[in-house]
Amino acid sequence: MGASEQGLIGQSVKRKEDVRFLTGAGQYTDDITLPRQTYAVFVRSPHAHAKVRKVDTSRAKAAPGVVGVFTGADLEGVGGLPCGWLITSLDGTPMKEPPHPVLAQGKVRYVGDRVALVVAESLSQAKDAAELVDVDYEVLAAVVSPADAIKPGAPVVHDIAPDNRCYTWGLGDKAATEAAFAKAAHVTKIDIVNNRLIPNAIEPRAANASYSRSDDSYTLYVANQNPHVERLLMGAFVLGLPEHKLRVIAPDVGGGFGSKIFLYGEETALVWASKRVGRPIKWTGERSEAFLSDAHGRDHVTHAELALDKDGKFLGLHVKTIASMGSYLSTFGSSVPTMLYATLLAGQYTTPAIWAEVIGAFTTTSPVDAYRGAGRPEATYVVERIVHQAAVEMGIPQDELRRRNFIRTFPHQTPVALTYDTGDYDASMNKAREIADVAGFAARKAESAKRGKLRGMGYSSYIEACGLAPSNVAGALGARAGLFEAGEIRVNPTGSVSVFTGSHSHGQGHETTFAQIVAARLGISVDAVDVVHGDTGRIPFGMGTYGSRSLSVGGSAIVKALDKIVNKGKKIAAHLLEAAEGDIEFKDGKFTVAGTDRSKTFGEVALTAYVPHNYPLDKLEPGLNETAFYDPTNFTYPAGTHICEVEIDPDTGVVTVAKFTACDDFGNIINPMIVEGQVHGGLAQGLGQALLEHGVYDKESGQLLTGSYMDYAMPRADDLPSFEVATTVTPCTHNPLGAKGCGEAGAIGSPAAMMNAVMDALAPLGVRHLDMPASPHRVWQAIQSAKKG
Amino acid sequence: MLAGGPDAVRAVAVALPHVGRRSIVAGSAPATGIEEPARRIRITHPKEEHVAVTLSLTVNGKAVTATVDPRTLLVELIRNQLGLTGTHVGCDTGQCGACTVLLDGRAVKACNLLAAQANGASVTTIEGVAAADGTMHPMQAAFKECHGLQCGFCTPGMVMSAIDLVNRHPKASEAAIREELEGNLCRCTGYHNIVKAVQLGAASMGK
Ligand code: FES
Ligand code: FES
Repeated sequence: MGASEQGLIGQSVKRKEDVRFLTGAGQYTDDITLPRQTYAVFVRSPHAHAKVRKVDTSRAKAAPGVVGVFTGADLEGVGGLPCGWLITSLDGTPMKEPPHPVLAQGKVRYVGDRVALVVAESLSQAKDAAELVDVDYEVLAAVVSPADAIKPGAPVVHDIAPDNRCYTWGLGDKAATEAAFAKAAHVTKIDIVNNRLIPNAIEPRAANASYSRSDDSYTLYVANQNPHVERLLMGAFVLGLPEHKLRVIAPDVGGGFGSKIFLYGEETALVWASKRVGRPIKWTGERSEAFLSDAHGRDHVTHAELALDKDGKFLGLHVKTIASMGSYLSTFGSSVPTMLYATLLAGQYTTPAIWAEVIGAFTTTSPVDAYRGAGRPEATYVVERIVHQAAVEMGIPQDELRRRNFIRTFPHQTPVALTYDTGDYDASMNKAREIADVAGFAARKAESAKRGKLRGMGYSSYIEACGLAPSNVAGALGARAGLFEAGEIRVNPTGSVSVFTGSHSHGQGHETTFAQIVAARLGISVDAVDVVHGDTGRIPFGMGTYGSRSLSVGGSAIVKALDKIVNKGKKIAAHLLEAAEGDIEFKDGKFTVAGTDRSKTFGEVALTAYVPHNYPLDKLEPGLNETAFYDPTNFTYPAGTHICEVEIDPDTGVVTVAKFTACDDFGNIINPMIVEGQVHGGLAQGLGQALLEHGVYDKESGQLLTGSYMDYAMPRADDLPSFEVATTVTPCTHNPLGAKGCGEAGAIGSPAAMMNAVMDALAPLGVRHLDMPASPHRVWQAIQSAKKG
Repeated sequence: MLAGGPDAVRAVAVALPHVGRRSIVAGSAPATGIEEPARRIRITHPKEEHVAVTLSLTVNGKAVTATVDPRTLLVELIRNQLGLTGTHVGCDTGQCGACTVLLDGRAVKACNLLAAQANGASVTTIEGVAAADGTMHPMQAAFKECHGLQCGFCTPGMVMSAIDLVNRHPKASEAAIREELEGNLCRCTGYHNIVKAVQLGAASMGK
């Protein structure tokens, strides 16, 4: 690594993308208006569950400005939205995969289900006309909780799953786990709910689809995290369009957090209809539509038991979870509470035997899919809540019980399929404790008590599997896609570089981080590098951004492409310098004949590649343009310890996060400023889950009760503290950057840390149980019922 | 109409989502109290259901005349008719602040005002805060310096709110900044770096 590389890697370079966002020059989907633009509104079901007897569009079609009105009947023959991961039940049967129509066919299954698409000259006209679509519903009973859905006699959401079970799946060794419990000195049991969350990227979903008669092709602008996957699923599986006839562009995207990974019916309907109306159609979701129709997250009901020996060594863990799929299987919905959840139940611990059983349940609610962390926050919540409870029951200090069970030798094979390559869990625990000033806690607690407040401290030592994923492993586990990433380095004749990546930035700052990697390697300035993403018409086939994979997988693809550039550059330089290729070294932007001062700059070599007058044309193609695909050999395993301190007002039940410390191991870091920002954002979402957020449906009617920012409590600036964040480093052993990923850690580690702190604070009052979110009402009630005994 | 200060704006905010679009058309001008002569609007086709109104206002220092459907929101005028797409829409209940602009120097939520209510007023959007030579406003620069933005969607509204905040409270504490930013949602940053940016922006604006 040369001096310039060391200078750029690990440096908080200010973001290249910021100027356009700060001056209003960003181009989000709704900012794009095409010639002859029309506007779409979806007529949505007002019922959670109903038969659609008749849809009469005649009044709407006659309304002023209306260009087209379409219903499920028009789309007959068009495929349903596919699910990307096949889960096989314990009895060997494949999961139940009910059709997921683009527009409702005969039945609606959640409030907000799409019934009709209205297209008009203006948005107001589309809205007015949508009110004139007459739908005759026969209302059926709703079922909103996954636990209720699997009870006998529950309303049946899909006929192909009369017990509302999508699958009953298991992972681990049941017999070994039972044997572990049989010899346990102590067993801790918990029942917990992982509350339903609504992702709420501040940019609502949006799409703008157009059809070109001249070449029979479609262009879709869409607020999406992975344009190639969107194109593949929509084109090949739903609309039957060859991929070269569909260009998907995800321009600036205003946050995703998972909710914009998926293929949704809205953009699919738009693409389909754009040919029918012969004009571009734009749809921008309103926030109330986002609440109703974005895929939600979490929504688990879990019973867990931990077996320990007399010294607190974990012997076995048994977990039983009922997870909501919602009304339909969203793109990755089936994999989240299985492959991304049960595989993480070992946490940072040596627990030798684990048995996890998961029932996926259909309910009459919005589909549930990946939301920041996706399965891993749920796993961490189970593990870290039960470890906390076990420590309390056995009278062992929280940090001590964790330490007694930390994994310390690597690679480590867990009983739930993963092989951790590296880590140092003591290091992050120690550093977190130091920064959190654990030693001073007793004094702070006493000071709070003087003011009549309860203070508590909670730990969460989490692990996650990121860097999705080795394609062959994922395929063996049921994934219906590859999970590599692509990168292309296009060196321009005068030495500037365009990087084309399959990763997609919707806030992560790839335009800067990836430019740092390229600039460092080629010895050029960051400003000479542009990163292009989000357009299937420009980038190589890539898998997009989710699961904290962009740097470890997408960045590694870029490194591999850079290797090819440097290798080719060496050949060109060897020719120019009349030296053997093996004698050429590349460092600090210069190709040098080893041991001499004879060299060519990167710019000279680039120009020669494109003006090949003095060039080995017999042996080497001109040009300096290389593409690489990187398929990881393992997952990456970011891990760390979060410590939360809360103060509770027992009179009002208000919980204040007094202090939050996160010490994470993300492997090597390219841009610490961006990494810290990712942690802050994740923490806000995790603390939002623990403190405020809850997507609630009415049990009887199935109406979404938290359908706006008035009812769904988003964390605001004054709900959160400033965070203390730090890192420790054990480089990932199997990718060229040594990077593990940082996007989800905050959301994974923090809910358990905060709830453990709340439980610690309330323990003296005799409170034994509390589910998230720790709202004043719930905390106050828990205090009151503990008082009553 | 701004005489009542932010409370009056908030009152409109609460009222709007509950009023049907038709009723806004029928009763918008009197109901929202546009009384000052300068703000009086000219109705061109009084007999039609969707009458058009012609407005004159200043946007980012330039005089603008626009003819709009009376139910048009200020944010719709700014984005759709004037093409200033830096002002964003993040919600439909007046609670995210993505649409924040300055109206006669004060931060308002442009989704909570009818375009007609800005008749005669001076509006500043994110496109209008940098210096004429393109140098970013100190608050914009502070957001970049402190990594106070990620996806950038809340950012224009945040910056506009922050400018107003610092104009009113040049020496706001962290707690006061957090409280003042209550009306602006960010889902990406956890607010940590936004708070730092506002502090830095306040310091540079004071210079
Ligand atoms: S769009 Fe105006 S407050 Fe949300
Ligand atoms: S930066 Fe994305 S919402 Fe604030």
